[in-house]
Amino acid sequence: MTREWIHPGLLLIAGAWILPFCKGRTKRAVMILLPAAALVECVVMQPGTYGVVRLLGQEVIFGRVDRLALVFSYVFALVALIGMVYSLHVNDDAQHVAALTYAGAALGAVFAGDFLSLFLFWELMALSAAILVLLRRRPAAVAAGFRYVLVHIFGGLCLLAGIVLHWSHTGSLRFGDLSPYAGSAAFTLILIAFLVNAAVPPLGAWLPDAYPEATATGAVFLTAFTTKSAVYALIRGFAGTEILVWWGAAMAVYGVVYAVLENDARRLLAYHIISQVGYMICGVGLGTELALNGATAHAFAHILYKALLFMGAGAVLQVTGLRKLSDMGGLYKMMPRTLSLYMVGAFAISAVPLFSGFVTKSMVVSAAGESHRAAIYLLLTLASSGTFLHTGLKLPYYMFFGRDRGLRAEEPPRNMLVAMGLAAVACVVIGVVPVVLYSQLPYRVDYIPFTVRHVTATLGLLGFTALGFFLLLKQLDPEPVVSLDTDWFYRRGGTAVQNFAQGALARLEGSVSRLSDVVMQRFVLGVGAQLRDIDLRGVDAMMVGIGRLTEEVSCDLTLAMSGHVQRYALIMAAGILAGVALAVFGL
Amino acid sequence: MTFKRWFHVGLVVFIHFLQNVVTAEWAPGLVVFAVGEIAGPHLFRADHAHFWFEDIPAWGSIYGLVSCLLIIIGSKLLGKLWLTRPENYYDS
Repeated sequence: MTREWIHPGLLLIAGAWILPFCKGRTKRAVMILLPAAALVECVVMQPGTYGVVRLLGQEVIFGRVDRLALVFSYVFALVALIGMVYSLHVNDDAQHVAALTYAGAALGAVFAGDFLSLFLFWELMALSAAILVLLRRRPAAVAAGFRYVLVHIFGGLCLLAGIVLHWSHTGSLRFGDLSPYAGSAAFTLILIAFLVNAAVPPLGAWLPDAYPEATATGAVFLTAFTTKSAVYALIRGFAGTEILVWWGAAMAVYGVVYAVLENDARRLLAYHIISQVGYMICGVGLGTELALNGATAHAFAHILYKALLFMGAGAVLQVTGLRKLSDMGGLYKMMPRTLSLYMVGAFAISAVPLFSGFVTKSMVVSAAGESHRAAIYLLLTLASSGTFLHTGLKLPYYMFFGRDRGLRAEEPPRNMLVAMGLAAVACVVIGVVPVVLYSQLPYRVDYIPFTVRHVTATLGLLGFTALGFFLLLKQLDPEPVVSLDTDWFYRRGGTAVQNFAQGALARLEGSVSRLSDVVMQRFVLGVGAQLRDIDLRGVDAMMVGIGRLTEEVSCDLTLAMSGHVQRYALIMAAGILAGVALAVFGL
Repeated sequence: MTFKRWFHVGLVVFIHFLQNVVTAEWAPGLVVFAVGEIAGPHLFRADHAHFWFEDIPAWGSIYGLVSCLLIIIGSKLLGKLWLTRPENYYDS
């Protein structure tokens, strides 16, 4: 069934190329209208199957529209709109085209009904995201961008290999629930590819490596699409995969641990993406309706508040040029609006009641409770405390309050504040009227977030986390350090191999050559000398002996060889006689 | 115009509130949170707990403080012993 349908992703990808040909107001209008049109299109779209193309004997479905795809498409289009408002002041067409292509590719991946179109948009996403990093045009950003490409080529190859194997086994390219194939090579490869994009450690170090290097505006787009489209793909294909429960919970804590050590404001926030995606991965692993609803809802809320947080940190970066917490402080006087809007995002991610995180994160935590998994429940709650500790307390404390360093700053351009305002409104609306979001989720929602126990326990948790923060404030002073993560293997691994080659390996080679010297000198040469002796004494003597013997025999024979014909005839006659005698008597 | 004025008043109050949070003079006020958590379920009809430990009085407050201290101390130790390197580590 193919109906008239314009793909909202293709609308953004193709529409982006109008921008380089526009100027001034028209350009800004197009920048807003494109994502706005995509958003409207997603909102009015009805579930069904659209855009089916036959290619290589396979059905390629560009528009599989169901409730799960729709809810992700709403938030992707919405954050694309907010991100474009945030970048209105930027005069760099390449960035805008890359950002819109990236958003369009994410929408394409969400609506992809088969692996072929999924792979196409998956790769386009990786490419356009890398360009967004590269366009900061600093050496560090270019290096990080290329590392990003490197990791995502690995992920893309895993996906492609998985798809080909899956196709050869099943003969179908449809992208649906993969649990019947659990344990097969195709299942594992596709899972790895999705986990790379979801930034699941140890495959996720690319995220805190690349995102803080992007431009202030580009980072807002980056936070939204890659990890969350991976969460979408995991919900679609891998719901109820047990390993994801533990992996997700560990990931939630991992991000928090690294955030303690982090000094770079946007890298701290990047580690919190990993932590928050951990909740979603855990929800996917739990696989119950509540958990999958929770993972979806949390992805929705997360995209908005994380964009808001990155916009806040980006505004500070834009105005002051500073990115390290150890250089900041006292900005609240100059940037009160930025601070207030940032704090809305911080309250939302920290799950403060009446903000969006409270009504979405708790769905996943409650799903862990309903499945009677105490350890998971405790880990997720611990990570919750850590989230508030960093995003709600540490970052604003050191960035906006803390030691006043007499920095000169002002509020960022109006469009940045408007974009932050839009995201902040969304965070509060979801938090106050959760039914707005709940009614869009893939399964029916019976969950009630505002219970006495939940509200009081959350307030207690947050309040006493704040107490702990101020008790150990001295310990938390940002230090100018970097933390080792698994990106070490491809950033310093080469150098380490070289050092190893020059150090340990060179010593090993020296030892081997010394050993071979000893073997050569003592053993091989010794054996050679022995063999020479044997040759001299034995073989030569034997040869000389044989020679002499031959000489003596030939001397004796010479006596017989007189040269007289009569003697030869006599010898021949004697021989014949002897032969006849032998014949006669022998028989 | 009135809206703009209220917005400014709101902004000033909010910043003032955050400033007070930063000075940490509010710490004794946390007792309210803990007491609220203990009393809340008795005053209103409480939903049922998933685990036994959730019924410990002021469970959220206790676990919040413990989590916060654990995360800070644990991460710092991990950093000191293993994970942190000088800032120019990857450039050298």
